[in-house]
Amino acid sequence: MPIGYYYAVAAILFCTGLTGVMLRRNAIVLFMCVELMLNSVNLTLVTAARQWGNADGHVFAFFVIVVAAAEVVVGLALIVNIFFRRGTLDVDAPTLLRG
Amino acid sequence: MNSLLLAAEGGGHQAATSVLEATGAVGAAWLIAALPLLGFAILILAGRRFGEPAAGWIANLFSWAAFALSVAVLLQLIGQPAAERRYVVDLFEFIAVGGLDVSWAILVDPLTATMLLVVTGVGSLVHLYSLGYMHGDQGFARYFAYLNLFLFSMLVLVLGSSLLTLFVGWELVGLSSYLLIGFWFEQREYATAAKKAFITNRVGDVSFMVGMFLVFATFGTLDFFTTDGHGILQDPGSVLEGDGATALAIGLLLLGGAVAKSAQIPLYVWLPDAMAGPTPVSALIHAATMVTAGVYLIARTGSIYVLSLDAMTVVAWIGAATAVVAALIAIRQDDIKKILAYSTVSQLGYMFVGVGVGAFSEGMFHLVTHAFFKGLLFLAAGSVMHALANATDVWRMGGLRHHMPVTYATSAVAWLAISGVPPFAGFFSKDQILTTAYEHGFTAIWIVGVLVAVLTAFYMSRWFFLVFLGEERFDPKTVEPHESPATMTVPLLVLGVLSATGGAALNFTHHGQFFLWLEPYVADASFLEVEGLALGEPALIGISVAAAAVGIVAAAALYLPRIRYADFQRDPIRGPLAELMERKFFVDELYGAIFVKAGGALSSGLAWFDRRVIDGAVNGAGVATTVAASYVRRLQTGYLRSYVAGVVVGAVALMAAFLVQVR
Repeated sequence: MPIGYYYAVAAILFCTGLTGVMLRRNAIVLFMCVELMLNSVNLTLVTAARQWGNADGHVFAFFVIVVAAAEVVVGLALIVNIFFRRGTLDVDAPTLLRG
Repeated sequence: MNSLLLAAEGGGHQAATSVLEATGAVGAAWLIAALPLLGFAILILAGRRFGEPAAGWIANLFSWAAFALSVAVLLQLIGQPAAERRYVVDLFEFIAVGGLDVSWAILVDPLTATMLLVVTGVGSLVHLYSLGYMHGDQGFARYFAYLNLFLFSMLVLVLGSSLLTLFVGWELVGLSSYLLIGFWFEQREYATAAKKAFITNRVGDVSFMVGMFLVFATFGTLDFFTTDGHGILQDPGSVLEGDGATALAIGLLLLGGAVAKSAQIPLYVWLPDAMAGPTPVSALIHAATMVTAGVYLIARTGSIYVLSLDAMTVVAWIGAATAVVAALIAIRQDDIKKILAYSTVSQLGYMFVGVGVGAFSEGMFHLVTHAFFKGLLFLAAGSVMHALANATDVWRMGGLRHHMPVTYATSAVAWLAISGVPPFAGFFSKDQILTTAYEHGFTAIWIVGVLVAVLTAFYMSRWFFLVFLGEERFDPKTVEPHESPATMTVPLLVLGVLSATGGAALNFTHHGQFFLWLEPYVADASFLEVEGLALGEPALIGISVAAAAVGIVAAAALYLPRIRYADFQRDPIRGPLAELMERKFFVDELYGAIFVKAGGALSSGLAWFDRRVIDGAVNGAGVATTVAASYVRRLQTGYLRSYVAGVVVGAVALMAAFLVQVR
């Protein structure tokens, strides 16, 4: 299978995630879209590693996975708290920082 | 004894250049200044507890102790050979920075000793007199504290062994005179007079300081005399090496300080206003001490002045001009103290003429005799005011000779002394200044001096006649003239005796003992002597006496017939010139227009600049930030997706730029 397919999948995944982040308002969905983008990057890294025969990409992918796990913990805690306080998961509802 | 000498050759040297280490009373000379300081400390801290009259007696104690010590110093100096009378006593290190190394030392030589005796002597008499004069004043203790502080300041000044230590005393004198002139500061007018005196003196201080810088740059030291012979007054000619311009600059800058302190043109305006202070203060500050500081400074630094004939000529002409102008103003003043104030300015002009024409000893001699008779005149004026419930208008006086015999008799002596009638004190000193001016080739100044002698005799006679003789012009129903208490009359009598005999006793002939006492310790200006003059000394003396006689006779002819009438209250001298004299030649108004108005305009201009431009820049920066923020803040929408869009756009842009770069 040509290497370009892997990149194409990664690009599709990334764009899907990005579109989701930009268009959806539900915090959980938004969060999943971010995960999608992260994983598309993982896919790119691993593909590139295979392509050039270099282990750096694998190592990076694991880093990203670990950081993403930590991010999920913090992110979910925030989302749960916002839900308890405001009774909604709409990310446009909190506007305290609007200039 | 560590004595060292430099041979005195040519002009610019003082005959005696050796500096001795101190023993005996001279070694304790620092106490002369320290005692009044102690008195001040006690009185300012605990004066109220002592109250009246104890506070006054404490001040008197310290003042008289300083006088006694001064006499001891004098006796020790007299006991030394004439060429070995200069001591420098190191006290402590004052400033040691880089090349500047000033130790606080005191200088004792005949010039200092003369000033010490005048300051502590007249000062102590004023202390005694004040006991009576200030009786019942609310600030009795504060007054005596200030009086002691003033004495301390003046003594620091005369004991200073370098320009810097002298300057410290100089500034202290400015401060304490401010406190004393504005003693009754509750009255706005008096407080203003004090400020005027202080600020006018500050103008001169700046000049003095610049002069000091120049001296330090030229000589590398500020000490007058040092044991290794490198003091600025020990052979300054060899350092300057005929550089007359530097000598002239130093001379003029120091003169700038002296004209402020000694109330000469153009900075004399503070002195007449300073009459706001209590009258004994006028006697102390404006007759005997503070105003003589400028004369002392020039006499002290005379060895630099003699290196520049131009500088000396300027000093002499400033003195002569001041003497004339002040004498003319004095003729038409109506305030018993203002007449004396302008008379003081005029007499100080004589002293400046003296030191300007190279008559250093004679100038100092006039300083001493003037301290006697002018101190006496002020104290007598205080006594008169005391008797007449603080009246000061001479047109409301007259006939006081019956009521106040002691004041009358002593005033008569002082009047004759200042008018230059032999054998009273003023005759000798004034005549010797004029004689030297003539002999040193300053003929024009001599003529002016003789003219001023006529004017002096005239206005002092007018003062005396109007106050003491003739019919009583005050209202006997409201005031009851009486002789003052003993604390006030005793100083009058002492000064009366000194005014009568002081001149003859100190320096009967031109080169009498006072002259010989000072001569080795002031600059030698004999190179100015001119040969083959038309007039000899007897003729000059004759002219001086004639000048005094003309003034007195003229005043007698003008006023004596008129003061027999109780309604004589208008000056017979009239006309535009008299009007001009009465208005003091509009000098105050002129200064007001030039300096006060222009200074005010400048200040308000600067204030506008500060408010509009400087504050404007600061406030403008704040306003600009606020305005800019009101637009920029809209970027913070609070919508997550708009931020994300921003990030994406940025990332795409970066990537596009990157790709373009790579290609």
